[in-house]
Amino acid sequence: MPDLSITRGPVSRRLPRRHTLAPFLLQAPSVTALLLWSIVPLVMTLWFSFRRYNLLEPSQTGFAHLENYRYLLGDPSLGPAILNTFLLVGWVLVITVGLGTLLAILYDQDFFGRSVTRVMVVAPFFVMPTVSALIWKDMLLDPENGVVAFLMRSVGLKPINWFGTAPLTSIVLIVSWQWLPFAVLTLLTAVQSLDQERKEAARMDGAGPLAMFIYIIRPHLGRAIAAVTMVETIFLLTVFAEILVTTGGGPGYSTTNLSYLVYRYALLETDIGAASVGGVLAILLANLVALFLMRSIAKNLDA
Amino acid sequence: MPSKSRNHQLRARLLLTVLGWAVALLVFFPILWMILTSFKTEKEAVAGIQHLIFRPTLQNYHDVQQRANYAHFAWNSILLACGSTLAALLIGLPAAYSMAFRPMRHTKDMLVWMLSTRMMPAAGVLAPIYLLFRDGNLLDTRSGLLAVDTLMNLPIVIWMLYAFFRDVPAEILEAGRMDGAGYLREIFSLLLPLSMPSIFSTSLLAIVLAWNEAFWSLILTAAKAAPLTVYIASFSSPEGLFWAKLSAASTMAILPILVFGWISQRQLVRGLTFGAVK
Amino acid sequence: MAYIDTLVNTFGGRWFDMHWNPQINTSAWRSAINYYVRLLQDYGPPTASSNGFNQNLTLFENGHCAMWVDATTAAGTLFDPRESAVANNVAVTSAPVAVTPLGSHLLWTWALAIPSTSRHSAQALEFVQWATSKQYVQLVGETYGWTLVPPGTRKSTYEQAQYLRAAPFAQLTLESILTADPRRATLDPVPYVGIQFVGIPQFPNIGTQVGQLIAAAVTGLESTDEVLATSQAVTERVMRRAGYIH
Repeated sequence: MPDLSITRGPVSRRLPRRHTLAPFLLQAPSVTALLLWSIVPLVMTLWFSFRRYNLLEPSQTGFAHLENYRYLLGDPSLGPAILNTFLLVGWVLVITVGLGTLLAILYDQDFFGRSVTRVMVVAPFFVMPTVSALIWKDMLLDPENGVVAFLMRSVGLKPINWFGTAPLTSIVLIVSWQWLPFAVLTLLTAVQSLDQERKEAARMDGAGPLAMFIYIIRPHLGRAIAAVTMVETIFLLTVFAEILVTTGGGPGYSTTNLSYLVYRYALLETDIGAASVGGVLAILLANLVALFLMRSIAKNLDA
Repeated sequence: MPSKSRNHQLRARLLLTVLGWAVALLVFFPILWMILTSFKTEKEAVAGIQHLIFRPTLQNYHDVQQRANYAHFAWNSILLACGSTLAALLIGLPAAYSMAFRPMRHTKDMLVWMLSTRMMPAAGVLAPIYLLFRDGNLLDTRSGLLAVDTLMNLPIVIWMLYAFFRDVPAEILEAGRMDGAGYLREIFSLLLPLSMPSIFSTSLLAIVLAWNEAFWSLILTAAKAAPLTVYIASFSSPEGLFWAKLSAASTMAILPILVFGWISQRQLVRGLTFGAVK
Repeated sequence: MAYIDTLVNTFGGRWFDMHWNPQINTSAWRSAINYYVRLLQDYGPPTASSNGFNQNLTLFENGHCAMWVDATTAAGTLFDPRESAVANNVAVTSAPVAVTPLGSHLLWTWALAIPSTSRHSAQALEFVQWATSKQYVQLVGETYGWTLVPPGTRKSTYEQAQYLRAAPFAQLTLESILTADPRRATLDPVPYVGIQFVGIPQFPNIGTQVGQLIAAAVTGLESTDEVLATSQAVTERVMRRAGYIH
């Protein structure tokens, strides 16, 4: 594909203006829809965050001043929840991008039955999150009957109680497994688009596999890695289903992330007022992360 | 020189084959295990690895189908996934087009905001949305859930199309403009054919995401509009053994999407990368 | 938490005093939880902290566990030789008692409901009536065997000689149901109703969080004292919020 970098840039992107109304019309439906979808619940969430509203105590109503805020912000599990959110996102990103890069290089090579193996590697992405979580918890990681325990016992190791003693690690494992296919696919395409000629030239110059990786492959992947990071972060910030069906936020608060914390307030404590404060917090966090991503990584996308 | 390097190449190829297959099997193993479990009895299913050799039975598939009408849930899933994707495309494509080719001062901010709406945990807006649905008589309706799925997919659709459109050379559209093409012609005759692969893979991603969406579908539906995610959840009972049946139900649930994904894997990749790769 | 609550009761503890102050940092609670944690750590299966009914049922009926404390509903399956490997080798008795027999065995119930959005409520009602009828009990007994008949649903079940013959646990189940008193479940007086639960809307939330914290003690992630302190603090927070205490 010809190198089009010279034709890009703000000047050439601007097609000559015809009507100034047109852009609005074109964007109007989506903007309206998204506005309704985000503004209406946002406004309602903000509204509820200042009201007393508990589903099981209908008699408690009225303006709540800052009570809900004080209540939620004074929750001892809030700090761990925010920390766990970042830990989860961070670790899954590291694992999927790191492993994804290696696997992308592997599956770029030519070997027998390559296309079948590719489908196998992509499959986890299509399984429902709740089902994945249950398979991992009860069929694979179970210290009694699980496959992993079986393997450990056969080499003389004592099986680990994954969800009991290393709960967050277990969740990271499950979520990484789910998102690895996405990373591999994306990075694989990036690797494949690497100019064969450049690779050949480097090889002729005597570059070994390690040098190839460091100087040729990795820089080329920068854009793809940025794309993967952005998409994954969107979903990883709100991981919920996997936690719900495996650890329920525990033991203690070790697998409670912000998403689960809000759920706990909304459905377990049935305190919509406090849950709404959690929602506001989550929105703030999401905006911060989105901004950060745009500034740092999205630059790569435009390059 | 020729024979030595040929041997070398063969050896390398064999090594890669072993490695490639080993990794793939490792990654695929949980799914394989699940499919195997769907052919076991409940007792065997729970016993785990001790029952590596077992007599396969179709009883679970029979039970699962008998217990609830799989076809009904599957049809709902298909309607919701495809419908919401179509709607998201219809709404999002013009927006992406406008943002990519007529960027304005606030376009970047708009994009950030759209992205951040997607990053919000669903539980935060659980109460407002549920109340809206209840008062609007939208609970357990296909149109209600369709609207939600569309809105969940909209930011992703817009983002991906925007990123791809930015890769479309402006000259082509300019040339069309010189020829006097109007907006609609520009979009339909010029842009669409060029971006078909990306539109296709954006759609695929949206379909998969809607297919697996397990939060709103559980909360906002009961029986009439319930998709496969609800069907699967009904097998997770607090008392009672359900492993083999759950595996059967799950295998039936992911099979369509797996087949679909396999057939279209190349297109899927093309669009998954924000146009970052060619 | 159901078992833990009965354990706390029988050790002489209670959730709240008459002024609704949480009592989790009392010696009765400490004894009960220490006992529980040590018991599971020393003798419990590896996944004790997260096992639910299903997992424990599987463990027990495959002969992996010697003792299981849970509801009488489990008995039917355990005595059925088709499902349970220990069917001919099992017996039931009341849960252990420590300081007081009050509140040492729990009482709960399942119910069938028809959603108000239902379009077939008449048929649904017919189904519910059938499913809870004498004829249904008879049908299950004749088709699947008398051990699997739904226990504790109808008094008439316990007047059937065939049932009493086939199910050695029947008499004990009936006695347990008749002697469980949710209004008199603790050594010291309490302002709430409930044996293994507290009949206030805040309880699911409190119970779940405390349960998770105790699970952390069982897996060794935190010490029992830490867990009790956090549980006390969390419960106080919720009760203060709900207006029970100040």
